[in-house]
Amino acid sequence: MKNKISLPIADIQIELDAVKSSDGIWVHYKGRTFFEPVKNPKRRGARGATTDSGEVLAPMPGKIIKLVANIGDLVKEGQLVVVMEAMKMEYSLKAPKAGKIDTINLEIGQQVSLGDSLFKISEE
Amino acid sequence: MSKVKIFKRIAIANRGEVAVRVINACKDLGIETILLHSDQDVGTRAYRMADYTVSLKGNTSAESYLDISKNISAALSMSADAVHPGFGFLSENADFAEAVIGSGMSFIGPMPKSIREMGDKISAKKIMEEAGVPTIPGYKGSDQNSDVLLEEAKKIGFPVLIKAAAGGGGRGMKVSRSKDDFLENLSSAQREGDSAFGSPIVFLEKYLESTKHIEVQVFGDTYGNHVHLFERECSVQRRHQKIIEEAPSPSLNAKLRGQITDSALKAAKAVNYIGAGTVEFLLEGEEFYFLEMNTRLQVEHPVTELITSTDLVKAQIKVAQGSPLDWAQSDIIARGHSIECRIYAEDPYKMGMPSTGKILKQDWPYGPGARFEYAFEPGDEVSPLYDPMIAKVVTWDEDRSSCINKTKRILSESIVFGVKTNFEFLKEILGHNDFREGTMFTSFIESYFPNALESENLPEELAEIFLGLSSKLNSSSTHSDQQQFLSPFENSWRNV
Repeated sequence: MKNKISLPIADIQIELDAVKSSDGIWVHYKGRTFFEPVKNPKRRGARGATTDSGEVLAPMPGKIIKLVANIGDLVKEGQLVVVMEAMKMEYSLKAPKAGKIDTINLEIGQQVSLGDSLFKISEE
Repeated sequence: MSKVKIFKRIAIANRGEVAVRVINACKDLGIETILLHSDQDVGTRAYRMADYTVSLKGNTSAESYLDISKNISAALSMSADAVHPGFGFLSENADFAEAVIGSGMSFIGPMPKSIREMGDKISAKKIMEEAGVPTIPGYKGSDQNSDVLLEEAKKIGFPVLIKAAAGGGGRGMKVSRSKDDFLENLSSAQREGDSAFGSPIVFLEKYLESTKHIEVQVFGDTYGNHVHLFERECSVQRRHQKIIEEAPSPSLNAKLRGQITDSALKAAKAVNYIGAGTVEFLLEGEEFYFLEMNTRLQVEHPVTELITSTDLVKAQIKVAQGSPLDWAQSDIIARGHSIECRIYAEDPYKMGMPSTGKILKQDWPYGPGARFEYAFEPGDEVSPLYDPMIAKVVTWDEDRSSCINKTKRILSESIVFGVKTNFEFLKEILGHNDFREGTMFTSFIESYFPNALESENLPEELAEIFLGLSSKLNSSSTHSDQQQFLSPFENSWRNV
């Protein structure tokens, strides 16, 4: 199970446990675990929730259980738009900024994947 | 009245680490195990450990672990003598217990009547009041009109806790801080209660601000004997979901411990309790109030086992076979301190967002006073379908502060790759002054870690490695000096 590797960085030798996955690198170093995603331009922002364009992406895989806004609605920053469920818990997705709901790409009961575009807000 | 009936085969109507725990207890007793599992859970440790497995033909909880008739026919198809429900799922479902008994098998747990009485929080509170156990002021009426509920909430005084009457484990529980957010929280609690337990009925109670969560492990047998196995403290919880539990509680003196364990025994006797149960209390200052009784094995039972040198799962099975308890109250002696950390598949730097994926590596630092209960092995997939708890790290040491230090070391030496976990969050909690002093309240997480952990500090040398590696992976043309320091890295990945 050990994947210890030793790396010469500059002048020091670093000992760490590391495993490469399809989407990045897992490292255990000095008692802590780190994951470094491999940057893939196509999945940009997939691990975060919001892009600069006001698009809100699914922060995790799960099921959409509630939708409380319609296309064209004006929303305030922080206003509840979508409720998701995963691993038995509910998570609220709120408007990242004030504006108008431009697009809604989901239905209640729909299963979504990490990084799926859920809705988009344009500035008014 | 009872006669002993030795089980040959036990069906386990559960999954994950508790299924593993029950399988091990059965093996120790020489009993064969049948795991009743969802299709998804073919890729779990319990599936590989059980003597027999039966698919419940479904993936979601509703179409597998929560389906009573599927579980009954699967258990019968393998001639099970008894069913162990674990915790969660059908473990506190009286209809399930009745169906098990009605099909000629034994239910490893209390009588359906006790489950029903304690499972309905309204009737539980009534029974406790009659038994002389202190309870919290609240509304437990059958009028569920939202305007009526709002009026009752105002009478009780905010903050008010809204709880699904059939709920548990943090589901369907919401705190309303004022009349303005009451209706929103009410509908959320009703929705969660409806989807998780099939009932939108709620009750309200005074939300006590500075409380500690103290619970007492009780045990009963079919001969009317009842004992307690001391208390656990579980004040470190988030969204009413426990994160760290310990035994004994650092908050009780001998007098208070005597009072609270006496109350727990009264509660157990009031419902003729059989098997393992937990009576939960909220402690505010020197006053304690009955919260609920969990009529099943508890997630955090290992800390009690470690301080009392007992095996609660084996005891459950023996009691269900009709044997009297192995212990009189005077046989149960607590020694040392034990801490359990729940390992959740979540990202502590993103407010505990669930993390799913394939386990790539898992290493547990075994040693004196270190116990690991885990559900998955490398290659297994942690799916979004079920609970995020993938493992428990349980430690024991001579005293509380040594136990905290040991737990921090154990967490530092534990490795899980493939899904994000809360190891760092747990270490921060264990290092927090309030926790070290033992003065934490149930509001501890909300007060000090509302967003779990803020940001991840990458050690500089590691940042350098990652930088080099990502530029290597992203560009087709690579600088020769980068190539040089990356080459041993790349080679070592190949065979993983």
